[in-house]
Amino acid sequence: MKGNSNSSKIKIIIIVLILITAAAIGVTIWALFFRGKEEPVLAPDYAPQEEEQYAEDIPDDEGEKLESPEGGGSVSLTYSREVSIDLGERKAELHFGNPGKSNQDMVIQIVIQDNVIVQSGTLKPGKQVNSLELLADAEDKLTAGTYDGRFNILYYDQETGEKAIVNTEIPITVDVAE
Amino acid sequence: MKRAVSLILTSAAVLALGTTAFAAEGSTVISQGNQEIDVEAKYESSVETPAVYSVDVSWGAMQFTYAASGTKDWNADSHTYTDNTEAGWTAEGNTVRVTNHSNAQVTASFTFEALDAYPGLSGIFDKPSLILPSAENKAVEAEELTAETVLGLEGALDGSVTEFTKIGTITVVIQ
Repeated sequence: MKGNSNSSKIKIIIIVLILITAAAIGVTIWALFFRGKEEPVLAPDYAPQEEEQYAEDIPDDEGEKLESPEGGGSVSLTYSREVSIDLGERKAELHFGNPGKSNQDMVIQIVIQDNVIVQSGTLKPGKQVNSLELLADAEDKLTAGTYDGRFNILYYDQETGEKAIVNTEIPITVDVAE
Repeated sequence: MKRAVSLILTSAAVLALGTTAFAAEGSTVISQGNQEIDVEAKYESSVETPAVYSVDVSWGAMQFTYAASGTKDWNADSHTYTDNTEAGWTAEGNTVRVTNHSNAQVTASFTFEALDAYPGLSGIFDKPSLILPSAENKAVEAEELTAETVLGLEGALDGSVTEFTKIGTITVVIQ
């Protein structure tokens, strides 16, 4: 009688251990293969087909084109280092311009702690932006406060759309409000 | 007694009239508007001059050729080649130029990063960073607002790369 009792206890313990092992294996498989992974935003190798929707003409932009070395490129940048983000409106307020004297199209990224949270469409020479939309899920990565960030500025040949060998980074301060 | 009182009152009246006359003389400045009153002023500025950044960047073709020359001489005794070759890089358009039109000083620094397919290559700029002064009170064409740096490559390029191929990127950090 006592032997049967011990035997049933051992069976219960074995079943519990098997269940725990199965759960651990299940969690491991989920973590390795099914857990949501953050997709990095890649800089396009060719300029986006669509121009930036918030691009507007730069007022009184009458400068002559910059002299461009043969086979190379020339750009002009006008910008402010302060950016503010309204998480409720999902927008970044900034000032960035690609003056008409540039010889390249541009794409701007706003990067915080290696997360790209904003990426513009194509900004042609003579255009500027004062507002850009956040990328999908960017608001989930941010909370109210001030961040050190940077502009990533990518240049594209106006004829071929091919990305230039040179790019630019500019440190910025990003104020985020709920 | 009455006379004495009258005399005193009369004297007092006369003295009072005299006082009025003196008072009239003492107030002449006011009546004629000649009193000088100091008026003070100071300049107080609340005009802000935020930094406006405007920077030009230009670069050349950035084409590099890795050339090997010389001979590999066969050594019949050891059945090996004696390497008498030399190799090195030549460049065309390997200059990056930066001009500052901002009302603040900027520092431009440069890095070269080889693509993953060319791990043996590295790039060195003769001037890793350029400090450009504010353009405030300077002519648009002022020479001191422009500076340039030259990229050189190190390492060997595989002999299979016989056409100009993208091997890396240059990042200009403007602070």
